[in-house]
Amino acid sequence: MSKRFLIPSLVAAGFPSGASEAAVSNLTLIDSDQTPMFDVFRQTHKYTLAGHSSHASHGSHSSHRSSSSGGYTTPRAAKPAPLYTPQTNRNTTSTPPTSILPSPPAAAAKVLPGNSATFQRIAIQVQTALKAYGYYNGAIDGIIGAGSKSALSRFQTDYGLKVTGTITPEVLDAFGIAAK
Amino acid sequence: MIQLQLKVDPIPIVEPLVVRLRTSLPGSSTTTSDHDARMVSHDTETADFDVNGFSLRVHTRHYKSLDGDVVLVVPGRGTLHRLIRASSNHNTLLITEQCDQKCIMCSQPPKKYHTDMFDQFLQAVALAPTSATIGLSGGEPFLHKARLLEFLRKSQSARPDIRFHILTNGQHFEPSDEASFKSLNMASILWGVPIYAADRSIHDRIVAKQGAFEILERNLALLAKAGAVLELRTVVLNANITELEELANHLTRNLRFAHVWAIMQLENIGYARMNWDAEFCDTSKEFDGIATAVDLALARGLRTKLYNFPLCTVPRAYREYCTLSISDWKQKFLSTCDDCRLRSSCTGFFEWYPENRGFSEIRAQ
Amino acid sequence: MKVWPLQFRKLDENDFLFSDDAGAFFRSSEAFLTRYVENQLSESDSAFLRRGGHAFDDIGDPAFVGFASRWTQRINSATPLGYVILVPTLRCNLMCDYCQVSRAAETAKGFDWDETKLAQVLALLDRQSTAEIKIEFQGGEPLLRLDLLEAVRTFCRRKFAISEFVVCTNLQDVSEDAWRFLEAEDTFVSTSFDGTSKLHQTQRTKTATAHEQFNANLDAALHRIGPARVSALPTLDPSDPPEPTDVIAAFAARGFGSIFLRRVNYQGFARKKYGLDRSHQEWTDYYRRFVRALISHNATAENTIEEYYLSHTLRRILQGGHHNHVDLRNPNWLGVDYLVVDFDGRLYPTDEARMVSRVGQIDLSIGSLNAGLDKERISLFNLHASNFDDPDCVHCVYKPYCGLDLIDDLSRYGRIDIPSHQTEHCRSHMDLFDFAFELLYSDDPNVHKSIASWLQVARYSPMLAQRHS
Repeated sequence: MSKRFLIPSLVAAGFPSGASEAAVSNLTLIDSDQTPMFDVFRQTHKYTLAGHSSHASHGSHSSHRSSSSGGYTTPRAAKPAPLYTPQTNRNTTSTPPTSILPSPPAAAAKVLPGNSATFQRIAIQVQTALKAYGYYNGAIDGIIGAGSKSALSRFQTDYGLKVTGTITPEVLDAFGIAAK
Repeated sequence: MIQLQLKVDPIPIVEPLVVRLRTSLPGSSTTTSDHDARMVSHDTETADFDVNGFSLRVHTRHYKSLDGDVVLVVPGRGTLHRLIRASSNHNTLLITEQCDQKCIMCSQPPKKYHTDMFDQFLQAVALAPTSATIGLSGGEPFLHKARLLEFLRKSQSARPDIRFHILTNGQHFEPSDEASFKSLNMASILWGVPIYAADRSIHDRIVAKQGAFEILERNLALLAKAGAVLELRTVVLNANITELEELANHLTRNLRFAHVWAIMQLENIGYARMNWDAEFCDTSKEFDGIATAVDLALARGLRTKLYNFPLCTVPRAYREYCTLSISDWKQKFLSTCDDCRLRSSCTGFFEWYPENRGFSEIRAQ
Repeated sequence: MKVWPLQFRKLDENDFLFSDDAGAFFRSSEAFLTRYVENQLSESDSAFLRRGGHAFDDIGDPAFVGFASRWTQRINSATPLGYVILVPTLRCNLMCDYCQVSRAAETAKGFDWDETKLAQVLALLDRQSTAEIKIEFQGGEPLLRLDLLEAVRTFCRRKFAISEFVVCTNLQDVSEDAWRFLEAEDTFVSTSFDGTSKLHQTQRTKTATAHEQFNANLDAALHRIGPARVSALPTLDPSDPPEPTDVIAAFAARGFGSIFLRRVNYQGFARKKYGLDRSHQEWTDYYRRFVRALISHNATAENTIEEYYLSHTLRRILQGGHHNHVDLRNPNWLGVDYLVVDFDGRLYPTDEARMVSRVGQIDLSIGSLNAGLDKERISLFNLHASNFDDPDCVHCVYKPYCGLDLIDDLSRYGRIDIPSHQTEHCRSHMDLFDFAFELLYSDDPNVHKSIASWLQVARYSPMLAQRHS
């Protein structure tokens, strides 16, 4: 730049000569644990809840979130009783949800923890019965695949049961299999 | 009222079952993930979902509203719990019903026993809709701190998109927890912590625990140092209505690291139902206790919101701070509300709001 | 109990104003000051100081952490580039008395970005990793190069998650294409309106025809874009300012809710015409008179009006934060979050720096589109960015709310090492803070009503004005 300035340089304006690189740095407030509290507090919180972005200017979430949603304890005594039953006298028709599920990340690997063995045992009994009744020719492996499902559907149709292609309480009843 | 629990026919499970219901799954059954239970049939009263070849038969007339819901079925019970409703922003997991405080307005009075459901909750989180916000409540969730922290760590690792809103009384942290908190993604957790007065004796009396205030203050500082996004929550009671302005001063001076202050009207359930006549403060008649607190908090830059206040009970100038806070499943409107033009922007009333003992000034606007 | 250091300033015969570094403040007596200085605090002193967040017991205790968080909120952290002023052309279709920027004739050649410069600007924006950007188009008259504005806006909308655009235009000549550009939801108009129609014509538009054209366009802007996205800034001559009530009436009539009172700047052509700024007191008196008139107006008006810089000052006093104004923040990082790109491709830390350089006073550029940012010069500027250790500031009661303005010092004195209290920046801000606290401690309900509206809260809280005896 060929331009001439009244004040020829920054040094002439009172800046120290020999600039250092480290000037743009932040301050740190350190407590006894050497925690840089400044770094914690300077972060501008951007917590806004999904689905409430229109309220973003107001920041927080908008749910009341006291629980009152009832417990889900497993039975402790022989006679199970619901812990808390919300009043049901009001019949609110909720608007049908728009499908909002762009497939989330894959679920955890283990299948139905704790239930697989029971399911498999009963499924083997069902497959065996279906085979005995002449509806099924596949492997007795306790896995209800396409073959088993189709066999179940045909069995349900013939016996006037609700047709689902799954092991229903009626199927178990019809075969006399105890669901335990 | 939206039902959170539905009747189911027996299904041979020995452990609690967590699956996601799909009534309209695209593609054939082969695309079904192990935890997706596809609907295989339905009639007017029931819908059958395929759980590994077994029918989960749900009694419902609105099967479509279940699509995407993550549900829990407990062995030996004919009940399905809708843990995470895909269509709702108000999903809360009840971590425990145990608590060390006995707040006079508690909506979920504590129980003695605890059932550990963290494994099921972790499964539920894995199946939740993308970017969902999930509430974690109690009881006091941090009575089971180790398991809760483990759950949070695993959840965040499996589903970094999920946000949590944890309600805790802040009584159970130790300086050693700071490192655990910092190892979490604190930016996606909102910590909702109640504080009822700046005067320790009043706070302690409301939560029915001697010394609670002092522990609370210490632990709020601890959370703040760990980078927690804090929501301070104050339920309005006759016991603290005259203390709110001083509380606003305290929050804006000593707890200014809070992200937001939620001032909440009373929910007539649990202990609050017992103490309703003594503690319900009719703010439709006299709003000044709240107004002075809001005036001070906002002028000092603390974001302040009013929860559970029907708009007609709030002077016009303060209505912009009201939120639609009452969860969808327990919200109702009164017959007076039929003609109100503010209805769609109003939080409404709790399902169990007692009209004859509630606000004196409910007027269609 | 340990008390955080308190700064103080005598307000009147009886009272002192005290503040701590986190910005909490109160009024008290000389007797208290003596007790504080002599370490003879009474029980009630201690209780008051605790309640106000001025004290703690142990490092890391809740009161300590609370103070630390409030202190931090007052610090302007260096953040990534998020605000860029672009000068696509220096040409202008007006020749105002006090043109702030130097300008070139409408038909002049060589005062616009060429294709290369535009590409370089877009490349510079493309290198930013932030999600949000705000672009301010300055000039000259930027609407003379609508094509360049379009190119930048289109690029930013695609590149950034959130982008906003401000067009600083004289609204003299607005084509239908320009209107369509300005009507977009993410675009704001900032224009000059010198308070009264008469004054505006004298200082800016000159001819009746040109003035009518401006008037019609301002009305059209308010009609087509709406007052929420249109702002108008008056530039006033302190030696002959318009009657405040006239200015307020003119702004109110057009539905504006904010007036940013600016006096003619001691830069650009203005410097040549108006000479040295000898009118400090005149301006202070006028400013106070203006705000008093605003308060009277607001007492009965349905739509209240603010003086922008006073509202900003009040928010900084009461809330901390509000680091969005480059004239008042601390530290005042230069060339970090904020950048000016001139028509010739040179980069400046602020628009004032551009002007100071343009008039040939001192080169305050920090690089160019060709050569990039000059890191060394930026570091040098930022050695003097904060008031923390400025010996003239450390004991000032207004330190937590204030900041340095290096560029202003340079433009006025050619040096940065003038003792702070002798600078115009310091003197005018002392006046401003004095006035702001006077208002905060006022008993006048009309003042309260105005303060509440300026803070955008429902009601003034008397608890804001803490007193201790």
